[in-house]
Amino acid sequence: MLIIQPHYHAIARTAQDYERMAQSGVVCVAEPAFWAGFDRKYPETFIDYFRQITEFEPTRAAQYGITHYAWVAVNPKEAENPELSRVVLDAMPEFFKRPNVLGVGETGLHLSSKNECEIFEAQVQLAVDYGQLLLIHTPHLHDKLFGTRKILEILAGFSSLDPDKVWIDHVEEHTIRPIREKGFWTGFTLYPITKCTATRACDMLEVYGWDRMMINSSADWGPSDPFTLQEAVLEFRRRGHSIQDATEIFYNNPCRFLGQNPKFKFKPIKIVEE
Amino acid sequence: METLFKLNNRKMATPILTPSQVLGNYYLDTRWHLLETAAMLDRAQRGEAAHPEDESMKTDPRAQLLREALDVLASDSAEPNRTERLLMIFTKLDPKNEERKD
Repeated sequence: MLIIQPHYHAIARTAQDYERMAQSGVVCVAEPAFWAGFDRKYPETFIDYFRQITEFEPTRAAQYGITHYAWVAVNPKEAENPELSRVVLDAMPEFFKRPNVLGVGETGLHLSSKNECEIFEAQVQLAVDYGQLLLIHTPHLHDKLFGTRKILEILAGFSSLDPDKVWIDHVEEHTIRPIREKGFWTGFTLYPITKCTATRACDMLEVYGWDRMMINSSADWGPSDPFTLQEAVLEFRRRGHSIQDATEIFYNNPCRFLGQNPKFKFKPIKIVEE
Repeated sequence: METLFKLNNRKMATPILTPSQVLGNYYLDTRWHLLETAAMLDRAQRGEAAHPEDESMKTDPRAQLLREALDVLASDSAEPNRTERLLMIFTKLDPKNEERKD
């Protein structure tokens, strides 16, 4: 089955992950900018990081027949440094012109501090001003509920924001309902311990349907595994759902959301029998 | 397309698993998770016996949250919302959540 991995931190992963993903149906990954595990001191470090995910990483993926897209943003943790963040934000529009950049992401909140909220708002405004897609990270563990509510509150202040162009990620059972009600795209991130599991993601798909739903593995430098995505495919199929419905979730929906940016070349497909 | 429909037949007939199928598919996995939980509690209890000065299982808010979560699992639920209820319990871990109600 063809699979699109819509949230994947390739720079933290090995070539073997690319190889095994390609062997198991992944044809495309999209890489949001994220926290490197330490707070960067210089705006230039971000710029070089953006160059890495827009210049080098596509060539690495291409060796395995995988198309690589990227997002640029200041992540919520480093948004705690607003001076540095503002300089990086000023440089982002140049990256929007790059052939594999799909939008602003992942922005969002971590501890929902005043600085984080300020830089998040600035990045939403940037996405609106430049007509970019928006990928929003929701906080971890016990901070998730409050942070998700705060994100929705901030987004409500943008009257010109089209919810169809916004993807709110790392959703769980206690945060999914208001996101669905507001009409945003919803993402489940599958991690071995935190966030969501394949079985819980499939439960939520069965409860809420799969319109505007996407599943990803994130896969970064922490405990994570890109193949939790294939686990979710298997879990969904084991429950008796059709291969077409699986394709809707794991391939067509990423095409529909990411394809709102004309640079994204993949189109939804239909499985037919001859 | 007819062939495709036949391929999908199980999904068409039963889009949600029957309770019997759920038990068949998940019993062993759930048994494993419950045993892991029991083993963790036993491990902590042995720790209390070996280190009586450490009263974390009585005083650490995380221990209380685990007890609350176990109560949810042990009780009947009118709605299939146990996962959401557990997540709401674990949200209490951050004391700021008490202060920053919106």
